[in-house]
Amino acid sequence: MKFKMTLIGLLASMMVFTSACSKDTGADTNTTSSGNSNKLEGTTLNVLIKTGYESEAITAYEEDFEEETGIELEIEVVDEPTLRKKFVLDSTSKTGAYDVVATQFWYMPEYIQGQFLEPLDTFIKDKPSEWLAADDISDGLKGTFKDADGKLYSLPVSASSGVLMYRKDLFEKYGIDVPKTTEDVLEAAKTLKEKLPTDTVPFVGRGESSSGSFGSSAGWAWAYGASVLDKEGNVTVTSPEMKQAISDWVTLMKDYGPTDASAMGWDTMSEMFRQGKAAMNFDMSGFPSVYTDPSVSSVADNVGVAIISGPANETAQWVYAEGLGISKYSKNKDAAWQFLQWRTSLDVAKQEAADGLRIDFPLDSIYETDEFKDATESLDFAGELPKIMSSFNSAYWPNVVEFDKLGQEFQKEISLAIEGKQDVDKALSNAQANVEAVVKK
Amino acid sequence: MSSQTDYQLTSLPNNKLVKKRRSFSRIVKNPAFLFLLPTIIVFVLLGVYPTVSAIWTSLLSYNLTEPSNVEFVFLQNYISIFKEGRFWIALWHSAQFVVTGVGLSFVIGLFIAMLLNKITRFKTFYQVGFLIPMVISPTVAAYNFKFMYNYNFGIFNSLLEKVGLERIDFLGNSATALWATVVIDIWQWTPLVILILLAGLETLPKEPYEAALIDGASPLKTFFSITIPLLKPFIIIAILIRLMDSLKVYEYIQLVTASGPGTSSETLNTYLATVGFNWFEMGSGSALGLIALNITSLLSLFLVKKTNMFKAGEEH
Repeated sequence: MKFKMTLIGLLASMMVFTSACSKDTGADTNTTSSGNSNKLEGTTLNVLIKTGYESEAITAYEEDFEEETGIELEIEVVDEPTLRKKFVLDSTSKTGAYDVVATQFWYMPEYIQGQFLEPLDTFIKDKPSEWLAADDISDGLKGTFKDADGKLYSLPVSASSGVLMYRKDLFEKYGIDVPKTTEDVLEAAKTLKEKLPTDTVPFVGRGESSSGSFGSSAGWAWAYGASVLDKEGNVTVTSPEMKQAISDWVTLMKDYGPTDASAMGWDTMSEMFRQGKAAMNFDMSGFPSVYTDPSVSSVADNVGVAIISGPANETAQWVYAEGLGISKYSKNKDAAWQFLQWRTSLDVAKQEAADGLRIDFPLDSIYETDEFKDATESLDFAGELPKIMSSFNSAYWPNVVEFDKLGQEFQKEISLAIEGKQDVDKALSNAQANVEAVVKK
Repeated sequence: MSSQTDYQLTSLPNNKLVKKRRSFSRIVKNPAFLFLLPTIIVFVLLGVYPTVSAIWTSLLSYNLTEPSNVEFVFLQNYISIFKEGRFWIALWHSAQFVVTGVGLSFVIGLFIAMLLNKITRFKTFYQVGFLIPMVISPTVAAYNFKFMYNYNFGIFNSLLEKVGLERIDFLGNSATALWATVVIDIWQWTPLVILILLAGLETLPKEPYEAALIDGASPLKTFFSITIPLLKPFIIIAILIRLMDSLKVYEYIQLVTASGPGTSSETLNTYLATVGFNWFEMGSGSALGLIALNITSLLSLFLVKKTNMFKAGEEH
């Protein structure tokens, strides 16, 4: 009896404690914050973000945000796969351990289908602050964070298109014109192979067998009008356009790239270019700012950037976009909304430009500011940045929940073709079957 | 009174149930049970529950991102896995990884352990030196090796070129990618074998060696007839630990080759991680996990039984 009474007492005290805790953490759910965050003071926001320059501004200026709003930040910076796993596990268990989460556009179908994120349209309409810069972002970019009904689930923080980065000194030395088309790139690679010393390759790109390299081969193919899925969702990997595109890509990688091109990830690829061991590199438009940084690049003064178009008059792409969203299970949604607006504001972007954190922004008006112009006056290609950002086109991207699987199933075959283990026809017919199996499931 | 009660109990139709209840309450009231309770709770929470949960999940069609779309499919996940060529290729790669990785780290480890056992000067210095790879994080080791293996700027190829040999495409070639990751495993975990075998060598009795010396046995004969049999329990422990570690290898492959080119360096564990944590297919992932668990358990049991490990330990 005594034991029973003790047990009941213990349970009762636990219930009181639990309800007290939940009252405390959920207190600000009903507060408003339209430009006034006083009511949110003392709230602690748990922010889950990915390593990279997108997170640098947050960790660099977090104290400014805390001072201005009284909201405290608990920031967790992890690599991209870990971030996805943590957020999915948190959302499926409905614990709401994270209030704000960095969202990569390729996982948006997954997050939207699972209803892991809070739609932002009501916040934009009813609770805008002076920081809100959503109208300064292109509709195309915002579209990558929307569902089929047009609801927005993240505010974009960064965006990337595809560019060719080339060594200006080598192109001048060998009298090669700056490539403008996919054909020019192949021609330039051929000339460079004849003239370059043996320790430098004409071209480098991503070839490893992961969905992370899918962006290179599929983005290149878009210049030829080819995509893995058509508008109706049919698998079109064996189309004539795709065959031509992948043949050229494999030629570039295999014949003009490094011997271990099929193992090249973003890290080894960029290391080669930074060490001056490659004359051209096709990848994301975020890389030029790394390659022109003399502290990490031995070719910083000799990097040129070009937008490449293909036979279909489309631009070769390497689409990437990252945003910030609010977890559906967050108990601090208003505070999270304040943070989203601050992070994506023009003020923070100007500060980032002034401090040299980055030069490519999703905000159109940043390119007209003094901060941006001062920060990029020594960069030849800075004037091209608005054009590069406006070339962003995600039309070719397979906007499906199974993206990770689809990307890997496609890329593993391309990787084997680059290695020379199979020809392009075989690679594409295998990839067609693989992708069909993924989509059918 | 008590005999009457007993009689009444046995005459009841559910007397077995009552007896069971009585014996259960006797166990619960036993002080030994109270002492064991924390261990039992921990074992149930960390051992029994996850295993039962994994078995149940393996019978479901369940993607973590679609929690509302869960279906009981019985053995369908297992059938699909066994029908897939990718599973068998991954299993074959795992077998190659384990046999080579464990075999070579054992041979190298035993050789170094015997050398260290003979050394008297600077022994601690050498011991600490050999243990360094083991304390480095596998992720850090994998990234470093990835760059060292690079065809164009990696240190291995620079060295090969300096001694007049051809550069080798370690990671971009299907024929070498898996072996490149085996080397990292051997480099990092041979120190563990050294540690275990050296501990064993230091405890060996001197008498059999003195007898062998008197009998005029050759060093080779002494090694195979005295050292190896006496060292047997330590050898088996070292091999068992290495076997389980090698089957679980993930970082070296995922970070160095991304299982490629194609899937030429994909092992059972990296395949499992891809299915479970990249594709979030919890049903198939759990089925693969249980298959891997059974393979590890059967191999370990086979090793223990075949070598009479515990008998040898008793004799020793």
